[in-house]
Amino acid sequence: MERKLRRLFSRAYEDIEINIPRVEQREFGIGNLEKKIYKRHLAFLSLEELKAFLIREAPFYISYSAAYYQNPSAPMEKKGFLGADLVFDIDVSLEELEKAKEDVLYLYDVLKQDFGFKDIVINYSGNRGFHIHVRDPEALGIGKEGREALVEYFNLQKFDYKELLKHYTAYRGKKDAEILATGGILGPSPREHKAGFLGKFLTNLYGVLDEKGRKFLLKGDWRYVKSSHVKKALEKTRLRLDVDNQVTSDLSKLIRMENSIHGSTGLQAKVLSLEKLEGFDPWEEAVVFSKEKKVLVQMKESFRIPRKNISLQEGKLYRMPEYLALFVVLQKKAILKD
Amino acid sequence: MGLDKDLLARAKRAWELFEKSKNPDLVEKDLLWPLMVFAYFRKPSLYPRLLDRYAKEEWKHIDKEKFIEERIPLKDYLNYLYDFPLYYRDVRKGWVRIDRDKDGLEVLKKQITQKIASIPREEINKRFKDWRTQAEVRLLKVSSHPPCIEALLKKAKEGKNMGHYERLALALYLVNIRLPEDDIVEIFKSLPNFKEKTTRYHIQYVKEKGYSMFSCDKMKELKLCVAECGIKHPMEWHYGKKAQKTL
Repeated sequence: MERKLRRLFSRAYEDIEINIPRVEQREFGIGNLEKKIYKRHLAFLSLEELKAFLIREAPFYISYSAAYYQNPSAPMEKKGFLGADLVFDIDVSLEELEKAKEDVLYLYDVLKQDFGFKDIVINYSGNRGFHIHVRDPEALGIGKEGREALVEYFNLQKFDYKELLKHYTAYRGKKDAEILATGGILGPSPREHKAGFLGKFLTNLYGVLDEKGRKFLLKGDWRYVKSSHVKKALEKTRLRLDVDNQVTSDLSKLIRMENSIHGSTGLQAKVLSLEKLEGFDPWEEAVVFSKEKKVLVQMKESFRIPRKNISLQEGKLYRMPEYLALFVVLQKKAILKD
Repeated sequence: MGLDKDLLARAKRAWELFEKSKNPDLVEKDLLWPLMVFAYFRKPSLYPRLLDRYAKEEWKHIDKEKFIEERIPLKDYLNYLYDFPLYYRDVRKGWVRIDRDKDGLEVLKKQITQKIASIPREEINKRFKDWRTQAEVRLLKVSSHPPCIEALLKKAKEGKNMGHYERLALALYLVNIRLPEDDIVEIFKSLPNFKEKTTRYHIQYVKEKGYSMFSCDKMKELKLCVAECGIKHPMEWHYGKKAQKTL
């Protein structure tokens, strides 16, 4: 069965375009049906070589390093670290992909508006979520601690509004008005996501105050701001994400290669434009196996295909489109019968 | 700053003074830097206080407006000020507004630490070799040891009888942290069947042969490991993995 699956992966890779920037400086790792990464420290000199490898070996999983190295195939301590893409992983579930999309959009906006990044690539993970790769030169040199700080900006694990007020003293006075004017609702083109977390918070705080409170706030005077106002403003402001800290902060982490086929689903880790993201449905856009060709499978256990509303019974035989058959087989819920 | 020629001499002097006063605030100004270098590599618990004093002193003479802007690039913030959550700051388009006085000092501190951290550990070991023996004696009194060694030390102190491998492990450890022979003998003195001559002979034997300390695996095998303390070799407790080689 494994050989048959491999043949299908190999054929699919013939039609997949791979485009990885600085491919020759990345470390690659491949996986089989038992282990997602069983071999690492692989390196390719060119995209052509990588593609030939994919067609020839047809690995069930392929990951690459966010990091760039002088010698990507050398042992860890001899690789010669040159920098690393800033990567975020939003991992939810196939069912909750819509929620994940919202998170990705928020994250994307913050990366752009707050952090000023421009070179941002979003891809479907091939399974339960999305990956975001930031490749701006300014991002590549951020250290482990700095990356952890960025994750915290999204996850708000240690957020404490009393602390906010304490730190806030540095910005009081004229600065309240300035932040509100340049980033918030008072600005020439009011846009919520313009002025960072603090700007959003101030804008929302301004919004929940009455006339008098607003007037004073603009002068940096918080005397009419009650803790109930702060709480309300915070609720409006904070969008707690669940970004995987380890993926972002581990500089030697291998991450699913974009546009590769995910060996747990048979779906493609497809790169998505922002416009495509909203309407993205993996059962449409991420399918690489045939939708017409029918394949016979036998269920090992009862299973429901997520986002499809198809329930399958243990022990039964089903003839279904190849892409769905591969999904249930790779999920280890069924075996190929042909 | 840096590793100039007389750093060693000055560090020695600084350490002696510090040993007397135990008060980092009383260390002479020009001895502060060598003592800090020492502390960073050898006595991390002392380091933050020294750094604090040193940086504050430097900060007085720095032209703050030249040193740091009121808005700094995000990447600089993440390099120097990552300990302070970003969401309390005004962050826009990759620029972070900071407090020149408060944050500037923190940036300076990080820069100093990064400078010290960039000194190769091997270099430090070489430079500080001569007087390490003396320092380690004191280190033994003031600092801690891995749990397995603590257990052995306790046993020795309480005058319990110790098996061959227990004695050997403890002796190897003490020799390897360069405790003077007299001090090692002192530690074994409480053992019921203690014989000074025999003890000295064994210590010298171990020293001459240059035996290194048992690894944690070996300690486990000998059933002398008492806790999962997260290290792979008992010597790591003091020197870290790299320094181990140069001992």
